[in-house]
Amino acid sequence: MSLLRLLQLSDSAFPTGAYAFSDGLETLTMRGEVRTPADLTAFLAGQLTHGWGAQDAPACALAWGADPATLAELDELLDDLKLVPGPRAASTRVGANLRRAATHLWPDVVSDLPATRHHATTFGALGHALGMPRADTVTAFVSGWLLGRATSATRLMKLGGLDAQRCAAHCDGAAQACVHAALHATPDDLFTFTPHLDVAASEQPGLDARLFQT
Amino acid sequence: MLHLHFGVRGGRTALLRDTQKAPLMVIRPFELPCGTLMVFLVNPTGGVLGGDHAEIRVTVEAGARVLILTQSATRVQPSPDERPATQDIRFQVAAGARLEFHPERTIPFSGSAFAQTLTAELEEGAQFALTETLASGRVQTGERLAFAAFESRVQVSVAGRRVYLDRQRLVPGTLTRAPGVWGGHDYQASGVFVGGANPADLPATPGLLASGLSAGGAVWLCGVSARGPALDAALAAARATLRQQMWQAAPLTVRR
Repeated sequence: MSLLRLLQLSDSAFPTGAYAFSDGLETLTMRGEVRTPADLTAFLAGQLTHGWGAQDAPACALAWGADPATLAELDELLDDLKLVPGPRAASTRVGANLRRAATHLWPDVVSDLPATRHHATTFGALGHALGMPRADTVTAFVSGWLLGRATSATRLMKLGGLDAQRCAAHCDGAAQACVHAALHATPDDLFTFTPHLDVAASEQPGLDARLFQT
Repeated sequence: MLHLHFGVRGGRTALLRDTQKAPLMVIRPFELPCGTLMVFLVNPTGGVLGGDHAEIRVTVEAGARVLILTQSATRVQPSPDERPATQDIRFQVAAGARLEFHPERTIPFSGSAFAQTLTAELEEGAQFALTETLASGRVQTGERLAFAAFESRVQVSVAGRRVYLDRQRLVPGTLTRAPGVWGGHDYQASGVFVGGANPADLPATPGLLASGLSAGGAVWLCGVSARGPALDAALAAARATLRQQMWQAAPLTVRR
């Protein structure tokens, strides 16, 4: 039963609105800095290793089964670490949408769920509340991000669905390393190094024609 | 170890007390035309070595205006036993005081490891600015991303409330050159401005430098470039406009 819930929760069709955000990928594709399947694979694996995967994945792992005070601290940490306003707002919007959708489906479970704001903390807390194992919860969270970004790329690049899925599949090693690191992380371990994407994500609102909100 | 305590005496900013222990020291402070007291931090050795620990403490009393620069780049030497060189910097800035810290570039040499913590505790009404740049190595010699690890934690608080937090950790690997990480660039910049009015016009240089407001209301800066001077110029321009907009202060004129 918990596996079914997990698959549902992390499915791209689950109505969180995550499909509306690229968090800077749109700028990089517009500039031609992510142009080929090899570029996309490198981008995805790079973010799993140095960016999103080093911040949001451990936050999800730490939120799993955490008490309300710890969840609040994690949300504050993510508020501060996400310097670029667009991705910061996207994270809280998707978190709110995730909670709203989960409330609709599993009201008894979610009614007791401590307050959370960001996508990572909400997903982790929900995974625990729905009886999903911690490692599976983080794996689903990472998979959801990876496939979501690969799908976004099909709207931004000359790239078919099959090629996008192949790019994601080539990131298996990075994804597994990301999950492993997340499961062993403490709040002090949330670090990133993505200056190239940070600049790109900041410039996304100024693009002449935008497909994504971030 | 370097401890500096600044205050106002006779209407002018002065270095009231200092404790200096080699290799860290300061050159005699001197006053800029705007009244800001400028101090150069100096490390006369060949750089920082694995296992070295530097401790810097700076206190700025109400009304004082202080600019701290470094005389040269921080060269992080190789660490044969894999121990990182560490640096712990703590600033305390009183209400009505201003502290600006703009060190020269950090250059991690092949095989080096560096970990820095910078904490700034500001009283309400204090002003603070920090800008830093990092190179991928001794780029001119072709040495790039050959260091073992670089880590930086910067936290700024106002009246005990965190307004800025930046944590960077880079262990170079096959994905460091990925688009979105460092891409094809060799220089990176980061920084923060706190205090005064929110700027109406956030500085930006397309593809090179961006800025924005943190969740806590601080102004952050972030940049990347394939060329150091281009990034330095964009950063200098950003500093000037933020000083003007946030503090109604003219650009600093510093002769090296």
